[in-house]
Amino acid sequence: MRTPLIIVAFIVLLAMFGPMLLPWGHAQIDWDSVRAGLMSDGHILGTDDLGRDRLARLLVGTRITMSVALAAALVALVIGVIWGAVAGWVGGRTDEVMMRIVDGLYALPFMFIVILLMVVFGRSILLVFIGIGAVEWLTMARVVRGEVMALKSRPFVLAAEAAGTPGPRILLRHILPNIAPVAIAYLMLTVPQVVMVESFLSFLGLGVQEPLTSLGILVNEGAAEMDVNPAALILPGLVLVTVIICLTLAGERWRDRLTGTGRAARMAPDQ
Amino acid sequence: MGQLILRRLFTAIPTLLAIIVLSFILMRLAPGGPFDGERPLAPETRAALEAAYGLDKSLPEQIMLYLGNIMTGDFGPSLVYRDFSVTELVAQSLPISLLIGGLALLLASVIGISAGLLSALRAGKWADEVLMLAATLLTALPTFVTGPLLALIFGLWLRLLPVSGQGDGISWLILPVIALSLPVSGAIAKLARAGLAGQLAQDHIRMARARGIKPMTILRRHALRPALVPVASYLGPAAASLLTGAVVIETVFGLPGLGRYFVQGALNRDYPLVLAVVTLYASLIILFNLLADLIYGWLDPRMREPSA
Amino acid sequence: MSIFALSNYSVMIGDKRIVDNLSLDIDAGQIVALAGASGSGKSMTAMTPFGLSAGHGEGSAMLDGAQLTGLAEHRMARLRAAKTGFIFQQPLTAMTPHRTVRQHVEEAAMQAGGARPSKADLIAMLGRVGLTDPASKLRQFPHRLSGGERQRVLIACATAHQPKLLIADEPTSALDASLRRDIMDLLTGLCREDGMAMLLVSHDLASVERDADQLLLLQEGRVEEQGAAAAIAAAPASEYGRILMAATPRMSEPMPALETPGEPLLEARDLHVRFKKPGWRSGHIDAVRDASFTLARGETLAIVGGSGSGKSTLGRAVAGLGPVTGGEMFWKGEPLPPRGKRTRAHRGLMQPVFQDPVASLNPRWQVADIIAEPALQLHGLRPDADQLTQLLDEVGLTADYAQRRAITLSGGQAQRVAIARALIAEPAMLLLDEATSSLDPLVAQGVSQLFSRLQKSRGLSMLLITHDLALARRCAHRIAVMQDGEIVECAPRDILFDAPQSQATKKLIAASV
Repeated sequence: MRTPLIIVAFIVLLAMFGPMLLPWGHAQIDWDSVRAGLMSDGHILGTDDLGRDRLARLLVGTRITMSVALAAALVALVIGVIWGAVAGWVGGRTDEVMMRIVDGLYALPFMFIVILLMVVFGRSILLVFIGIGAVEWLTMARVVRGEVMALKSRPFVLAAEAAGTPGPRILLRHILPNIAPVAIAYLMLTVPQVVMVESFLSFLGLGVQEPLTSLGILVNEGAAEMDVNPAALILPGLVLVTVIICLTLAGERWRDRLTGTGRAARMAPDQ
Repeated sequence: MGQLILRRLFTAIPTLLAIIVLSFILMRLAPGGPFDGERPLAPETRAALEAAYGLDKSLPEQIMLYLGNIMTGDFGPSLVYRDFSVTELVAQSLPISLLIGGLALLLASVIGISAGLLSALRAGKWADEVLMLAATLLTALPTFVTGPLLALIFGLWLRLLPVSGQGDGISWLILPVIALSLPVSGAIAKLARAGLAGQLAQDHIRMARARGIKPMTILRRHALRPALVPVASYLGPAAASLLTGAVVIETVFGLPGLGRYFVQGALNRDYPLVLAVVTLYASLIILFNLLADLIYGWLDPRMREPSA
Repeated sequence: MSIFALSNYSVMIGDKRIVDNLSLDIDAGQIVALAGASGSGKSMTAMTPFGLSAGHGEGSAMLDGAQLTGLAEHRMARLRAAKTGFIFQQPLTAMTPHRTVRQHVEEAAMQAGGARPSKADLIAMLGRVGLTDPASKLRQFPHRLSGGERQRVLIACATAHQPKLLIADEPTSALDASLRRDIMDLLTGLCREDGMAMLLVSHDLASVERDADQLLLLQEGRVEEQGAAAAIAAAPASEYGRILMAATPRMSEPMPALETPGEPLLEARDLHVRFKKPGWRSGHIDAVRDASFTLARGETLAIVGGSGSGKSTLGRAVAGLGPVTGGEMFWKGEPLPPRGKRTRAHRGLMQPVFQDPVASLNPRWQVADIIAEPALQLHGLRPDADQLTQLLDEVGLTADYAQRRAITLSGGQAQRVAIARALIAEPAMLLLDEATSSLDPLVAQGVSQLFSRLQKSRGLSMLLITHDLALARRCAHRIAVMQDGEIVECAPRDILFDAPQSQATKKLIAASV
């Protein structure tokens, strides 16, 4: 199951270092060649209608999309883990209230709230991170809470209590290391979700602003000129879809291996 | 069952209220209002307009007024489409969105459940691998990529189906509904497969096999209902996904649905319209979650108990 | 009239031979039992001939005149439907959650092409298996019935179509001790009455001896001994048979002598533990009521009862690992605070050993760290390598275990590590919460013997929570019997068994073998 991760790693590396190898910047306008076709005038993928190098824009767009996705997913991870761990560990009334809030928020058409926020507070990239991360933390909180509750009643936690280990230390040294794999698996699944959300916002004209670009913006631009230049849609679309699929596949495999029956320790037979 | 519905409503109503109030406050906080257009207005004109639209009262007062109006179905006038009230706009565009969304959900369920069940029955074989790969692919394809692509292939290249606007008959529905249903059908397929595969490993299926009951009968009687439980739980998120997807589809295919009005409204600060849409969509999702719980209870009697 | 016969039968999974060259013969009305430790191949032997296992059978398997080996699945299914009835170990999961009792029994009665039974027929069938109030139970879903009730329904389903052969795979191991006898008597009674043959798979040797006519002892797929059940039980011919018989605690064995206890240490007075009902229901559950007992140095007090009797709750309350809503506890006359207020000094007095060995160790930690934790937390000192080696040796593990990860250990090894962890802080008392119940009989015996050795060498007091009265009889000085949260009787061992006072105790003694 390494292939999807290798593909993603390759794309990420390309996006990070590729632009440095190109003579063109992503916002640089080449007045001499506008709407150039493939492999013309030193532009491998041609230029768009403003004369900007398509390949540079593709690479930078990928870089921005991936950065936003990772940052937002990390935000979701941190909020979700803290919320879920507290709810699961403290239990009782606190847990009920905290989870009731999560359930209530789940019902929201979150996309619309985010759009609202974007519109209200303008389009800063920080807001994009926070807004998107805020959408995804709910699932993480639920998953972490479930895991913490399951672990809390396992005998080894009781044994730690009997050994005189104080609560916070139990949480840190016994519980969190055991939820880390699951949390990371869900993190891997969150990143593609965030990529889609970011692209969606960009599609609506609400995400990343000019002169920066993202895969969502590129797809949007490509869709507008798809009847004359299908490559403009297909290329960014392909990169977007590839990244999402690979991360989803890898994340799902890891998640399946770590939850359910995979998690139960396999007992070796007694001699 | 009745307890379940009451409990849901109990949490639903405060949630809805919270959403409305929150959105209201957010909109009011936004810099720039609907009257900051291309030409600056004279102060008196501005004051008069604001008074006419009730924008000069205090925030809590405005909220109470608004809530009161909603009760009677009055969502106020649209600030951008000056000749129409929000209720009229919604009445015009909601049916289209519901039609497309509803058909998409139906199509997604049929395709998804069939594919998922087939996959589980052929678990481990190539049919299973192929179907599940296809399902993952579908969930990874954003609607704003598939929409234009489908329009490109079937509309422009093959010239088979219309790509923009409503036409006569139903052919205008085909591409939008298919594009909208694809991601959801992928998700449903995976859930159905997981559900059935999980069931087939259960003891009660083993018991039915031991009794010599025919495989098709086992599937129909013993495995099907619990297998669909994960799909039922997904109904709420599915509705949310379809609503967001609808925004894209309506834009790409040029359909006058509610999603498109929402985006326009948000960009143009049309407060009443935006609030109405958010309220409506939130209610729809809550409704779907309730529906999901009811279906879940029918599928698995253990869920009908009020206790944990 | 032979109903079921296996001749030179072997079970293969791939290339591996799981069961080797087994032969048996069951006549109508006869009960043949397959016994042995887990992994011995007994379930495989019972399931493979009927196409219900992952294995592949070789050799002859005859069911009522028809050869089963090599039979196509659809034909096999028809034979199963007509001629056999199956009973599995877990009653809850064997019933389809969304179908009512009525639907289950009807389907079972009609599976061989029979007519739909009338409501009166159904009530009669359920009544015959000892289900109370059968008419109202018909409408119920499985999760509303208790474990014993479900197993009765399943027995009704297994016999509804008048099968020739009943296959029961550990039919009572998931049930309460008091129920086991009732269910086994029901099964054997039905067989004799209806002239059914029964193939019984069980790891509980003590009850097999009572129920079966013929017995096969299996070890790792080989038949070690075969013959009349009573004869084998009384005087096993094979080495394996002898070890197995000796390992299981029985009521008929002589009571081993125990050391004399010292001065009183622990006292519990009128302990009360109350829980709120879960979910939306209002009201409380009194898990433990008015529980009082004492424990002396070097003494083992067994707390015996069925599931739901409150024994585990009481044990944990005393050990400071569970809630206490009323009553008091004392250690050497000083008050012992409940869970939230225990100091490190208090914690050092008693340590637990739990039922599930693998779940009681942090899967990601190394054995050395697991064992060191109590010493680190309670005394602030990390034990050095020599101390660890010594402790591992004391619990019967070699020094190289210290570097292993908990997740790689077997059940018996994990339990020994758990015991080492419990001992490192030098407690005066151990709480043993069903500490051997999940282990294989032979492994369980080893662990039990370890406890006895430790009690002698360290003068440990032990609070033994168990459902197994025979086990309590083997190792406890005094026994307290619990029912519905109350200690209904508490007496020294000899007195309890010679002259039981309460109904609960008498029923428990009768149900134990």
